[in-house]
Amino acid sequence: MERLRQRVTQRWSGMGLAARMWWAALATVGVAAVLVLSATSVVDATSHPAAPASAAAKSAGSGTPTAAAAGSGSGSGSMAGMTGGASTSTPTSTPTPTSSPASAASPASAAPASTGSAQATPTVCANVKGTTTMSNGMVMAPVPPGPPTAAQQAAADLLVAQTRATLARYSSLSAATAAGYTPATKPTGYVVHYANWPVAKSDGFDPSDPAFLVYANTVNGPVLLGAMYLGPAPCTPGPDVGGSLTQWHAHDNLCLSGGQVVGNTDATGTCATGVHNTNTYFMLHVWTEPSLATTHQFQADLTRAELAPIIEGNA
Amino acid sequence: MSTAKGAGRVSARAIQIGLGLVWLVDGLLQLQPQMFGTHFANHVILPTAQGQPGIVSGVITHLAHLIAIQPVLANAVFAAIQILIGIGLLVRETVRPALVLSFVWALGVWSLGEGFGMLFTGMASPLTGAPGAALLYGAIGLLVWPRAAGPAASGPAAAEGPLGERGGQAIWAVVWCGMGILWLLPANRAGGSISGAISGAVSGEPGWLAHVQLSVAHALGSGGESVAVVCAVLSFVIGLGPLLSRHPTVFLVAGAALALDYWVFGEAFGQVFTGLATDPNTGPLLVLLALALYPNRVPAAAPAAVPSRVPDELAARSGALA
Repeated sequence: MERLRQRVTQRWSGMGLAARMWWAALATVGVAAVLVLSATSVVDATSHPAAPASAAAKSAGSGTPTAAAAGSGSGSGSMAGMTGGASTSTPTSTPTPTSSPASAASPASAAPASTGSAQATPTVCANVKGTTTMSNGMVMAPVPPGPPTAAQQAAADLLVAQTRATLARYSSLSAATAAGYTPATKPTGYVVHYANWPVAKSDGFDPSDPAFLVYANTVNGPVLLGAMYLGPAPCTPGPDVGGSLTQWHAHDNLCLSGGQVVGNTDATGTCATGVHNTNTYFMLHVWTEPSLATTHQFQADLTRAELAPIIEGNA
Repeated sequence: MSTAKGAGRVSARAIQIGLGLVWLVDGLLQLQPQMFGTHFANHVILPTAQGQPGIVSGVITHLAHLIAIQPVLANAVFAAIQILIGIGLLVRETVRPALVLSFVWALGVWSLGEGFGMLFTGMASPLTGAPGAALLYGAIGLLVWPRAAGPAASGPAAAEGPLGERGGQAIWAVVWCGMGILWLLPANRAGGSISGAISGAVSGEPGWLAHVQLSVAHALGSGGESVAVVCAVLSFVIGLGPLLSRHPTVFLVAGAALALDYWVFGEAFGQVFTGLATDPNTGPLLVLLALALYPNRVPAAAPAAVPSRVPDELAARSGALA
């Protein structure tokens, strides 16, 4: 140790001023780096205490689905057509009416969407503590436990009203495309997400300027179903608007190519086409189409069966 | 370019200084205003998680999350480290520790900041910076690691380093042949992939550059496979040329020229005009690597200086004839 100290002292004394300053600066930056890393790790750990059970987890655990529809596996055309909406697919289970007592009272009171059964290990967005990954590849963000409070209900209602007001000008697809919305999923699917990319790339959550509009390709032409909002950054849920009513979700099984969702990962988690979207955004749907709004207001996933009346012109 | 001995010679010291300047540029780019917000984590780091294997994606995502907690402090540290590396390479006494620090930092940047050059995604393209600039920082630093023997009088700068001239040429071959292989990936041979990559790099660029890029993308159209194969063949020739030929200069010049093409059209000068660039990307580094291997041939000696014995020989022959 003494020898080392002597060597260091000897070297230090033999150094020029520039070299001494460089070493001093390096030591300073090194200490700062350790401090910053420690501080962020502590903040990260303390900002994610024991994860609140999400509504999805609770529903899966209790066997009493709170979602309006249950189960739609990969490739089922679920997630409102994020995969392009293969019309031959079928939902894997029967839709179940929501058990939320408030659902009939308010347009914004449908239960949060959580479809499929919960699985243990999320493959994306591991940074978000308390998520629940469903068997159909949806990663449900944590929401506050318990039923929505009056304030949460009011906030959810306000979000619906604001979204509905904004979407009034996009009832026709041509108006949306004229405003810069372009297909983000296969345009021939039964449900198509149209993105306004400059908005999608911004960090804001603005009901007057939604990042995505969702249309169904029906026998009567495109019908506006609602809007989809994105979180501020990949793997970051957006603001908690209405508690368990407005649960953000992401997808861990999407394949992207050329800026569009082109399919789902296979059983091994790989994409036949495109790349696995491991850097996914959290999203929140607000369905404003009247027949959906009453029962599926914020549902993450809509099956082909649930959309059948609209697609077939019977809604 | 500074010289060690003889005008015009590209010495190892000159390459160290060049590398130091690039590191300084990196550090200054890290000081751009947008880097001090969540944009750095969300729009620079996180996108590299796309398509990566689960564990890599998870680590990158977690790192981005940590950076986003304290973006100002984290970014200040990142900038300071890179500026320190740059200054360290400019000061002769601190070249060795600065290079050691650069190796560690470059490895971290390559793995987490560049997502291993996107090599695991199947989508890596030399046109847009694969196999990753950070890898080249390390390779060049290794080539010009200062040895006790001191600068050489002739030969390439790499000859002064621990790997020698042949080692340098081997690294050049690995880099360029690796890029040749990447060109042959299905994603790069697909129709329209090259024009798509170029037009995809237009976002946020100034009008004149966007115009140039879009013009090139339009000219290439959907001719993906043929262009990719040509680029692959060129890459293999450029990579193996210095090893197999007695005239490496032509391959080094060709490599530098092709690298500059990538830099302008595919890398958009490292996207330094967007406010979100963290380095100038691979173009300048490939040029620096070529310079490190530049032969620096000693010019043939002047005839008057060589034949000191000639008069004697002439005299002897004269005597013999006499």
